[in-house]
Amino acid sequence: MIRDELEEVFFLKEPIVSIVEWIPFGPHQFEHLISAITTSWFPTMERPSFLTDRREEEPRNCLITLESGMARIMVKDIREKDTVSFTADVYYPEAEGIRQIEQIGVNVFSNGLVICSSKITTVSYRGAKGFQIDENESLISLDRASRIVCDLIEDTSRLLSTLLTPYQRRILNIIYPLSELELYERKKLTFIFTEDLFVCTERGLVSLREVGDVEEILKQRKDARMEIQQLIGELQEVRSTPEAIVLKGLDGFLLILKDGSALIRLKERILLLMLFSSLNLFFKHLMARAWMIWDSLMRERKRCFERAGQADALKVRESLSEMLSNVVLLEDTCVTIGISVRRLRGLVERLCKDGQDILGILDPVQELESLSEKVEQAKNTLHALRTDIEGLIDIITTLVEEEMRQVRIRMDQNLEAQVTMMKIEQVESERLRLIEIFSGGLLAAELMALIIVIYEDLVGPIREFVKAVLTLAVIITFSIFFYIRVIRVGHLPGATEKRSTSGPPSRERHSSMVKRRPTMPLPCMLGQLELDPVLEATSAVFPAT
Amino acid sequence: MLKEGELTEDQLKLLLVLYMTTKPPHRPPNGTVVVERWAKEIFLLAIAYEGAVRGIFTYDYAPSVMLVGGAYRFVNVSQECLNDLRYLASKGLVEILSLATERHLFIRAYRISGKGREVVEAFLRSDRAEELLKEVKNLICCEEGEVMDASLKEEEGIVKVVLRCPHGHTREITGLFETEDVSYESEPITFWGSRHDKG
Repeated sequence: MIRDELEEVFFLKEPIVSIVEWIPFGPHQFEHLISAITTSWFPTMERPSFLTDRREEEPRNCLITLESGMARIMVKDIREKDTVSFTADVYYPEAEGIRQIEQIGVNVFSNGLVICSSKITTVSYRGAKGFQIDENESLISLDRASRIVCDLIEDTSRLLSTLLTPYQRRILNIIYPLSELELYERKKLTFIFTEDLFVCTERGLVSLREVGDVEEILKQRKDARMEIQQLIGELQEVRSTPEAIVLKGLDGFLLILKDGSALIRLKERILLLMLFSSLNLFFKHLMARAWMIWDSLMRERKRCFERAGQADALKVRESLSEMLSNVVLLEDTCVTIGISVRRLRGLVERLCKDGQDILGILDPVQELESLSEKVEQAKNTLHALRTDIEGLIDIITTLVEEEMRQVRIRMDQNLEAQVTMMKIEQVESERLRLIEIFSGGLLAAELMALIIVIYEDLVGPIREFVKAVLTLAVIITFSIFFYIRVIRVGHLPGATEKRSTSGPPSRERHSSMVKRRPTMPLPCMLGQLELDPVLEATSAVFPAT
Repeated sequence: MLKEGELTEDQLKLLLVLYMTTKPPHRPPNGTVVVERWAKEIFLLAIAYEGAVRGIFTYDYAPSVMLVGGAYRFVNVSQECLNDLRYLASKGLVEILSLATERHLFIRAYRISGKGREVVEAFLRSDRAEELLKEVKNLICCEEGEVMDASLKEEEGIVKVVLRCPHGHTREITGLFETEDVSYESEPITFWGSRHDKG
């Protein structure tokens, strides 16, 4: 429902609204489109079939429930490798109180031009104030026409969504970010064709041709210009030709035709106008996207050289990969544009020979040259961008490898330090054991001396020679006993057990452990080196060379 | 010099909006850098839309695909408002700024010029001023008369313009991005791809 009270002053007589855009269509995509619209048993004309913008989500389910917002399509004409034409009755849900009988004709050309056209036959003026007009009238006010144009833009995006391949949808989403989401749109061009433009005067509705020179009227009447701008964007040029008055806007064209048959006579010229305009629009956004990628590349380059951390390196790498795939897709699109432009050459030459007429609004020969140059330049730019991204990926890889080499060096140093520590500990413990043995011997000698003193008191004196021999014998026996019990059985029971249960670790096993180290999570690589106990133990026994 | 009498009421209101929301180059208190404040076109379109719906502006609006926040979406654009801005700029009352977006496409922003300020200040001394000022304040000021800041906010896919003042008052303009449907009937045209030039 319209919230504002519209001042409807200018009217179009049964206008044909064409929503025009350029979508990259290579031979594969064109075949996909043909197979999509000929899935039904009745591919041509006999019986229309439904088309939904939803995809099969659960392939295993045999019964499906879909929201009833569909289009019923009927194939009109298929010319292999050239054009596909079909009509669509659109049954998408509309706002409450709105009744639309929306039928759209779709022409898809293999050169990428997509035209969705409708002839608006009647529009409802229920509740309109300020002028006398039938409730359902074939004169369409410019205010209402602009709302119909938006409805068509929205519905044609939905209609085409399942007919396009994932490849095309991906490209469109790169060129027009978020456009696949609801409420977002792709930029499209609007071409409106009418036989007459009427103005509401005190005398009633009067043809603008009757009032005077249309070009002059548009110059003088600001309100007319404003209304037209609602449809085709900022008015840039008005050109009168014998066949039609052409109004060129920033977002489209309005052609006031001399008569109904003028459209047939001008068909090829208008198609060329559509193709040039839509290609230029697509190119503008393609290059804008290329510059955006360039910006992101600069940001990633900065991040890369700041070397904030290994985790960041992964993110940078990820982002660069995405950029690279986008650039590759854009490069591919440029090739498709190049093919379309080359195929146009013959048509341009032929049409220019016949005189330019409405094509005078853009110089086709110059336009073709300019497009060819743009394709070449875009290819070069994208190639440079790709080289740059690949270079940065190489740098990132080198940096990561260097980082890993440093980690390995630090690990080796750490192991070496551990081994030295263990050696020192071993020497210390040997020394301690000797002291222990010696101390044990001395203790035994002391005990022997005490036993001899007791014996001499009880029995009588013993010869000094015997005393010395007894003491020495006790010391030696004790030392041998101590050596056998403590040293042979093992002073480090834990370490001995571990070695005995897991088997003697080989030098190879140790080295393989060191090699496996870099596969640990990246944050560890830059953080503190932590050795596990098994590795510590084996490193101590079999130091890395 | 252009006088306020030569401007339409809508143009005067638009100039008042710019007078209150934008600022020429100035050094803010305690600031070291000279700054200036501009209003993006989307803000002025939001005000024009809200003004049109509430009967403050006599503008019409119609949906059009426009670049908003880096993506294209439907916006109810008032061509009259844009035309008035262009007219005011042509008279030297408004400055236009071309602003590159992240997407390398350009948007416009507007600021009142020194000459524009003089015209507004002269107008504010006139008898008509109070009434017009009240209407404009109704659009861009909070209940306490403070000019509100504006930003775009997206919630569950619905974008709106949120006006907010330092006192915490907020107001939302939601209809700017909502397209209005009309009832109509149409016929398909596949004439463009036909071999025999028939519709």
